[in-house]
Amino acid sequence: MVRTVCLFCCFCCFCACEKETELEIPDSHEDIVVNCLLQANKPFDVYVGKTLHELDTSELYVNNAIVCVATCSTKETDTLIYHANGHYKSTREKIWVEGETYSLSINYNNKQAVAMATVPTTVKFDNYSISNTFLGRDGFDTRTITVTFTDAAETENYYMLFLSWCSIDTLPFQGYVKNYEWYSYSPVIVSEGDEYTDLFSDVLFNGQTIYIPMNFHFWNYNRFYDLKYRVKCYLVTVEKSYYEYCKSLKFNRENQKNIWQTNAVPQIKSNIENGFGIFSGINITDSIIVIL
Amino acid sequence: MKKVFVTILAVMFCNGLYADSFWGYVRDSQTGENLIGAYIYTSNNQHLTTTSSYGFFSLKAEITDTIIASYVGYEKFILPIKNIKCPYIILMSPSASIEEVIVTTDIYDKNDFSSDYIRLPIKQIQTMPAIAGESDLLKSLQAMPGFKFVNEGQSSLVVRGGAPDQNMIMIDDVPLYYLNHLGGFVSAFNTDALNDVQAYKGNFPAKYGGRLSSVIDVRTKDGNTNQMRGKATIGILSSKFMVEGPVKKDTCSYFLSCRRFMYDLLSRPITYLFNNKMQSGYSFYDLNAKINYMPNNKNRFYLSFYSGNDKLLSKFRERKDDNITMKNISKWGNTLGSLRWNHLYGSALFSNITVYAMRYNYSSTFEYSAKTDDGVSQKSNFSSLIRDFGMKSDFSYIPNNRINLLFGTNTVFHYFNPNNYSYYQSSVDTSAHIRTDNPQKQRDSEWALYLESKITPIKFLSLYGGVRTNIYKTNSKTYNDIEPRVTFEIALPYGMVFKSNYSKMSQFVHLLTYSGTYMPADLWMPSNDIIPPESSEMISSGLYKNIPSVGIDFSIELYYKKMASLVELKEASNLNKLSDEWYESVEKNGTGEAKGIEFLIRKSEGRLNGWISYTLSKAIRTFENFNNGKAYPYTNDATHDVSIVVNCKLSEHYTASVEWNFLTGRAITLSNKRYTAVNLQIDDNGMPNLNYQTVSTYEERNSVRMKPYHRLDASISYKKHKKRSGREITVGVYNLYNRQNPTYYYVSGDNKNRSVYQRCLFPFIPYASYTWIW
Repeated sequence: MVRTVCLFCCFCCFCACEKETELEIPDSHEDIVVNCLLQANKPFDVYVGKTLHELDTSELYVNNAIVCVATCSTKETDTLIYHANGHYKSTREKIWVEGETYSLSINYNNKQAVAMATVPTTVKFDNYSISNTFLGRDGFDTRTITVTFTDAAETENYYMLFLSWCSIDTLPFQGYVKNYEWYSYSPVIVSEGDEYTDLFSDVLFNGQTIYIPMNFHFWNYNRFYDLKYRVKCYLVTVEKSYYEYCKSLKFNRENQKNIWQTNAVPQIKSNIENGFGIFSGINITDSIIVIL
Repeated sequence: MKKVFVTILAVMFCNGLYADSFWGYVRDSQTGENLIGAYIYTSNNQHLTTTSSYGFFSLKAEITDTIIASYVGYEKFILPIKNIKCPYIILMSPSASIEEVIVTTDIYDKNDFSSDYIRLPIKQIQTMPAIAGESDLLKSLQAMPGFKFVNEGQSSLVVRGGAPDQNMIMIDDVPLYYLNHLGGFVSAFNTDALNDVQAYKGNFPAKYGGRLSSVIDVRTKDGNTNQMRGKATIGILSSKFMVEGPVKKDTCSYFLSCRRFMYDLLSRPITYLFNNKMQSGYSFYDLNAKINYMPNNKNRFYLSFYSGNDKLLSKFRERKDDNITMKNISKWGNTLGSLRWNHLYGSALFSNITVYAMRYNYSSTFEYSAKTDDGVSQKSNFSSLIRDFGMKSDFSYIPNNRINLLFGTNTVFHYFNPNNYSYYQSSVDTSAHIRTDNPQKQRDSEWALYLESKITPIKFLSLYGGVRTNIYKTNSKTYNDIEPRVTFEIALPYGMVFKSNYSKMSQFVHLLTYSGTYMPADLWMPSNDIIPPESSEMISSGLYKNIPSVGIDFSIELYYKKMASLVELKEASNLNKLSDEWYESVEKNGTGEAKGIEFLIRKSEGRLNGWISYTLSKAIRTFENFNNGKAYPYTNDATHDVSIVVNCKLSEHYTASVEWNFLTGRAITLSNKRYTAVNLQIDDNGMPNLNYQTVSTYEERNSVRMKPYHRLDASISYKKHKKRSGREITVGVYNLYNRQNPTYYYVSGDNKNRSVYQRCLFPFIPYASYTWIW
């Protein structure tokens, strides 16, 4: 009897508490979804989709929308052509211009969604420094690249930092690192969420020169092969709309399975009028290459 | 007309002048603790009163009468008035018998069995089953009608459709802001330190104000005035220690209790050894201390201190030569101190003056330093600070048995710095030094004056009339408010009482929460020019019946509550940012409605005691920018709520307790639509590029109901007290039949197959604790 009770207790304590269940989810309305980030030296590429019910497994993209982009200063309009998988591209090799504002209009299924975006200005790295190799917190060889740049005081600015590295020899097993493989203990980064955050505002250093230490680890191959590495850092300036969109996107994802979450899963911010998604300018303004 | 009015007043005030006054205090004979809410009545059942929060009573009676004092769990005290010299200290002895002790008077104070007002004996809280054996005041209240939990296992309370921040929870007359530990799973109240709990979920006495939905008045122990006693408990969640005793017998005593979460003592060295010099840990503690001094029977002083804090720490030294260090410390909690002076002016006027200081602080500090060529050192701090300095004066004037006049003042000076982010950077290059600070300070003051009286013009009718005036002064705006509180009660045939009341409340501070419950990152914000105070009006009526011969009381109560100027955090808002003024993240001018009917059958005495409660309720909210302006069910709206609690004293040493709860599934917002989102990431070629992913969102708030919630808990305690020491062993099970109650739902799957999943956090959980008492 005692054994049975003990076994029952153990079973109950360790039994799976996550399971598929039946629950009625309310119907949803269809809305236009627009995703477009104006990027350096790239033509307009606009993704147009629609919202679906959570359990609907149909395709999310739309291939029969009318997509128009207009330059606000010159009133020049370009109607984009459907390419594939919901992507609409410019007929001309039109490249965006820094500081210019563009308007986007989508017509689909008797609905219209509109948005505007401005391409942010360029910011250059001032300097950088590299630490010696040390054993990082995850047990890998780690180095710190501390990048420095100066923020413009008169405006609210938003930045992204990216880092990738690869062997200077093109060995097939060494691809580029993903962005989440670098981390920073800088409070500028950590205050935005955690040490893996790549998106931050100038709120803490408005108009000042800021140091961002970026730690990255690489596999211990150089202990055996004495390889050289090429590390590339990108500085990207983004619009406030994209910053808020990304923050809410992260917040939305983090709260999907939150045990303390009793309010709604946060909505994702959008600058699309009558729709969802984002139309925003980004500017990959500078990059540095370091050989290690 | 004027003459009639004057005559009525004269009759009422002169009533009982021929009678003798009998006044004093009721205390425990062993510990000297005040017994709050004890009945004092005459043997002919003509007059009755109850003791106040300080154990004080005053009763007019004939010289030939005999006085009876009664209190649950204590032997009845009987004394002829002619032998009494006032102020008289009635010392009541705890009942040694396990047989039922029934108070046979049929003139119970009707207020005592109103379902608007609940007194939970601490012994009952300690015997109720709880997760990990950690008995919890707020979780015990969740089993009463009208009280609901926010999330399973958490101690936050939702009272009659109100939000968790609408509950005024006071410890020794000082309001607390942060009430939880361990992410809300343990409340800040160590039951070893508590003496009495009174909860009002409506019909608020005029002395209370500042919150819309409920008042929970917690009194801590004063300390044993006769002998030194102690208690030590080792539990699964925390360990506790308590000691009390006389400094000078019957004159001055002390009380000290401490509770601490112990796991960080293990986790910090373990993580340091096995995680490459990274230390991390979490801990919380509660410290209650009190000194009480009675120079004579007319004066008494209390000096109280409480500190309850949580700490989350992670420390890391990156390089072998410790050149790079990182430290992240988050701390939050309340610290308060209060000094109270009780004074008795003759037989009819009692006063309590309280002076207190309270500090609530949430602070998260992140430090990075590198002893490299750059010499970069950076530090950021996010903090939310509230400092209150307050003074209260409460007077109770009892000219005769028909009038009880309460009046007083309450003044609080608030200092808010709710959303302060600072940043500091230094380096070898002095031009790169940065110092940023954005304090959002606000100094407010709150002034209140109240007057309340209970009048019994005729035996079968009682009237409670009260008014509280509030003035809330911010930097540039002053809010004035008058809050009437009215109750009338009529004694009906067959020992039934009908009661009806109206009350109006205001709330000047607001909790902006991501989670819906008290979490450290949730911020308390004051009213200001833009955010007006929240307000509520409530009417309730009830029918009450007491059957003293078997110690059972029964009540049915209806209520309707209307709330205005409610605030919520805007969609996808992030408060912890320097860039925004906090009030830009607030959705204001919301309204709310709550209505319901509550049933309670309670047997509070005897070997077998407990209660059955049922609530049928509905609560909604409306905000202009939420849900397209349409009303939506409040998160904690549960149509049916049933609780059954049974405590049974099996023998001299064994006590068993069983609790069963049923709740209609809560209204939740589950995503009902999905779409493709984009963000910028490094692609496989090492270039920043666009990455597409599917995200979920919703259209209507709280449009989905969770599955019904129910669970059964059971515990059994063994207590053995010897002459000098004793021990107590408790074993129990939370969720005995392993009901998989959903904590949250989510939708998952790929583009071909998508399903809804549920997660249960609290399956069958056994627990045990050991307490040593000396």
